[in-house]
This record gives sequence, C-alpha cells and structure tokens, in this order.
Amino acid sequence: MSTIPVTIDFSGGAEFLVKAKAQKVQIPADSTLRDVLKFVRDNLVTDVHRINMLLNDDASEVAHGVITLINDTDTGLLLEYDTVIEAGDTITFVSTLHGG
Amino acid sequence: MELGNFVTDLNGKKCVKCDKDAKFTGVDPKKAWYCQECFVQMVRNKFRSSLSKKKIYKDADARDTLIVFDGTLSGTFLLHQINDALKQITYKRLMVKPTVLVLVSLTEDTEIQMVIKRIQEIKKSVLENVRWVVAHLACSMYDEDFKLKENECNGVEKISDYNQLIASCSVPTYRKELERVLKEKCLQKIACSMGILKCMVPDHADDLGRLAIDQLCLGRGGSISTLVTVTDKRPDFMLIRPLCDISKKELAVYNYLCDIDKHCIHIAQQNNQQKSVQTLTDAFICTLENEKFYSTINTVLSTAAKIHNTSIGKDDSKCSFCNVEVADSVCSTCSAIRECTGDLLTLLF
Repeated sequence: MSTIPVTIDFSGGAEFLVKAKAQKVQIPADSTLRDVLKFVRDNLVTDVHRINMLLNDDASEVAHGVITLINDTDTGLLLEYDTVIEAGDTITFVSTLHGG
Repeated sequence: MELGNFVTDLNGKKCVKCDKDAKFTGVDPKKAWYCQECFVQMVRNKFRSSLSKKKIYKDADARDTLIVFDGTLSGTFLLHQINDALKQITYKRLMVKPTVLVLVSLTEDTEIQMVIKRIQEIKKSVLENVRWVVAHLACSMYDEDFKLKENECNGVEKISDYNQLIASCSVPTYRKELERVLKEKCLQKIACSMGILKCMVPDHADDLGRLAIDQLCLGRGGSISTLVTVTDKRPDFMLIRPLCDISKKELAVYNYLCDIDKHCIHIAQQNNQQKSVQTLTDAFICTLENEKFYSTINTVLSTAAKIHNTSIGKDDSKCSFCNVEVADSVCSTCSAIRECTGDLLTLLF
C-alpha cells in the first residue's frame, strides 16, 4: 500500500490531547478526511480519557466545537469528511472546547 | 431531523468581498465565504461596529473600562482587539482607557499561582502599559467596598465561602444560574471598588444564544433583550458585550490565523454533566447544529433582541439580586434560589 506525507496540526488546546502540536506523518494514499480521523485516534492521541474532546465515539467525525482545516481552508468549503487528502497537505484541528 | 443529502461543495468559490479564492466561512457555510484577509477583517469589523453603533465612548469623561480576561478564546480575542485598537493598527484609535481584570474561577492554590505566572508572561506582549488586576469570582462574596491589591489574586480568602454557597444550592439549574449571577455581582463590586463605570465582557454569540434560551426557561423572558445585547445598563455600571455578534467558531479561526491562541490559558475541564436546563439547552443547540441548522443561534439572538417588557418595570423596579425588571423586589427565580441556599444567600441581598 502506497503512502503519502502529510502534516497534522493541533491548535486551540487540542495539542494537549496528542503527542505534539504539529506532526509529519505518512498516511495511505487516497485517504479521506474521515480516514485521517481514525489515523489520529489510533496513532496520535495520547490523552485517551479526553478523546471525546477531539473526536466522536467511533472517530467518524470531530467532536462538536472542533474545526477542521485542510491547507488553511475550512472543510465546510470542501467536501467535508469526504475530502480526499493529497501529498503535502496540512490538516489542522482547531479546538474551541479548551481554555478559560 | 435530517436534511437529506445536503453537501456543501463550494470548492472554487470566490471570496464575497474580493476576487481571491474562498477559504473560510462565517457561521453558515451556505451564506458567505471569505479569503483569509477578508475573513479576519470581517471578524474585526463585527467587534468595532458593535461598539460604534451604540456610541459607547462618545462621553469623554467615562472612558475608563474594565476589560475582562478569563483565559478563554473569546477573552484572548477581546484582549488583542483592545491592544490593536489602542495602537491604531486597524482602525481609528478607540477612545478607551482599559484596566485588565483577570477573572479566576480555579480554587486550588497551585492552579491560581500558575494563572498568575501565565499572566506575567502574557502582559509582556499584550496591553503591557495598562493596569492588570487578578481577582477570583469569590470577590462576589465581599459585602462592602474592598481595596484591590496588585500582583496577587484578590478574593482568595473568600473562596471557601463562595464554594459553600454554591454547594448549598442543591438544584443543578439554580446552581448554574447562581454562578452566573454571582459572576455579574463580582464584576459589579470590582468595578465599583475601582470607580470604573464600564465593564467589557468576552461573551460571544454562542454563549449568549444559549443564555437567551436558559433565561426564557427560568421565566425571565421580559429581560432577555438586555441580557444578550451589546449594552446592559445597571444602576451603577454598564456591562458591554462587544463580541455578541461573533460566533465561537469565528473567534477560534481568527485566533488561529492571527496566532494569538497561544495566549489562552488552558485548564483541565471539569466534566460535570448533571442534568439541568443549561445542559439541555446546550444539547439542543448542538443537535440542531449537527443537523446543519447553522443559523439557530443567530435566529435566537435576533429574536431575543426584539423582546422587551412593557407591562412591568416601568417604575424601574428591579430584582435586587439579578437586576431583571420585576414587579416585586426579588424575581421568582432568585426567590427559588434563595430557598435552595437558605440563609447563605440572604446575607448577600
């Protein structure tokens, strides 16, 4: 299975749930954003007790209040979870649930 | 309710303000989309227009303003907008004389010290030339004028009293409402002790939309207009909500794009999900937004802003605790809260 390099970035407090704020990783080619969510759950999340602050129960969507960007573009302007990720893309998760 | 196969594929759309490719949307991705520069400008415009429309700073004698910073993303946004406004970065200089009030809700001493340390770092780069004061929500428990001290968290000696009062309220809905009203009392007492008449709070549209529904459920429908709009005049001070038109999503994206989210103070969230009117309201709004009814909050707020009480309060009679217009001296919700807490709350009236 061929893989592609991408950068996964966490911001707004989401970085406290994972190994590092920005991470360069290899994901399977032709992955969609939904596949990336499962990759994040299986490989990057370290604070498993608070994973519900980033992803929903089956990692099919982000938690309510988490914004996803691909190359600094709101995924609401793309195909949302069906957007196909390309080599070199940066996927950003911005949390609105932390702080204060 | 499902909206069928609604999919927003706006790839290739241009910004509604210029010719660049769209990258961000407002609350509703079907209504307006912006390039990065125009998105940032749009959010800033909302902040400045909320202040200019009400002509809040036309009076040269009353420019002293308490700017509340609570470590949230909206608090961080407000801090930076005031910082930019004073430096004339984006617009005409805002004629405001700010004092930053860091409002602490943590109760452990080590956590409070951590907040004070973070504040020392933050104020090196934001509003470095203005006065900063740190105060705990427990300042609401002071019964008379008090002197605020610099370089320490004011009100810590009242934390046990504050916790005792909150814990004495056995009904979760009333407990959350008591916390909200005590927060306003705290701001009022601090502003009065400093002789400041205006207080800018970082309440954003998502907070206020939920608050409007909560207050309807608590029987305060006649007063929701003042509770969710920009200006809220109290007997001895004014609450200003300049972020009332900006959604939490817009604030989060703005902070990310302008690289200011590093100034949020992240604390461990308490996962207290006792059923209450407030948690049910939150779940209700979340469900609607998940089902792509993105404009729910906007609709609630625009409707709430038009609701005014015409039958009571003409003689300016207000609840002595929460300040809503009522025929009696205490509103029914505050009476119920007082019954829950017994003598503890009576001392504060």
